[in-house]
Amino acid sequence: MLAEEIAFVPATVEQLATLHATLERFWRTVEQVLADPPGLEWRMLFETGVIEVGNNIVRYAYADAPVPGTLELRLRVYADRVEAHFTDRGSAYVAPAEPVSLPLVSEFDIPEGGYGLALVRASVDQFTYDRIPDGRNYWQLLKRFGG
Amino acid sequence: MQITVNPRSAEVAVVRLAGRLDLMSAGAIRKQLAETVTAGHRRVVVDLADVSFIDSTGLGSLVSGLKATKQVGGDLRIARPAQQARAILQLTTLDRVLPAYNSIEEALAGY
Repeated sequence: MLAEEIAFVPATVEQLATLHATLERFWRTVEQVLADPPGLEWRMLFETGVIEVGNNIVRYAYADAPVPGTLELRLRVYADRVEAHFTDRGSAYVAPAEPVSLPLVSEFDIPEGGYGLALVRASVDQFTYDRIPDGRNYWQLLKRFGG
Repeated sequence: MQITVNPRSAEVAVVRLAGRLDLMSAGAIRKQLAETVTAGHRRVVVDLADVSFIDSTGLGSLVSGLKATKQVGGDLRIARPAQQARAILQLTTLDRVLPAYNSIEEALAGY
């Protein structure tokens, strides 16, 4: 690993802007450690994936909690890829019975929501979720350079 | 997120957005588009030139606006989306129902 950016963020809608700021710092670090950093559109796709996972945690992981919890985000750069690791202590993620998949269909079948995680899968190369026995949720996104 | 509504006629309005169209602002956008249609502007152009980031909730608010216009025989078009917006419109294939116009005037043409 060449560098890591870490943020602890209250899992609230208002604090989602902190994820954007963390990503901006991360890209500056990436530019310092890589001779040939990825271009803007590549970065935008990774950011889209990161923000969608952040949204998911904010909306669902602590939905039943009396006070908002915290999400931990670690952004890592390697010679051949970047990774995002989210950890939170909220409710376990339960996949919908009929997940929305891309491409979305005809005009009046387009859902107005529920396709955030499908967008993550389309934006990065690997996307995994694990529920750790000590009560933590763990999301990992990976995007390889050159893709 | 800042919203500016610019009626061009009784039936046509340009809605200019600035900032991030995301979980924080999507509800307000959805509400404003619905109110714009309710006010009689069933043909809407949403100017995205100053929108730096859109997520799936933001897309959902645009889809909601499109459906509101269609219900009254109108349409919603988007103009001048920036690079990130274009990328996710293509990824989600929503560009098939929300094609991007390069200018507000092109989007208004034929309205």
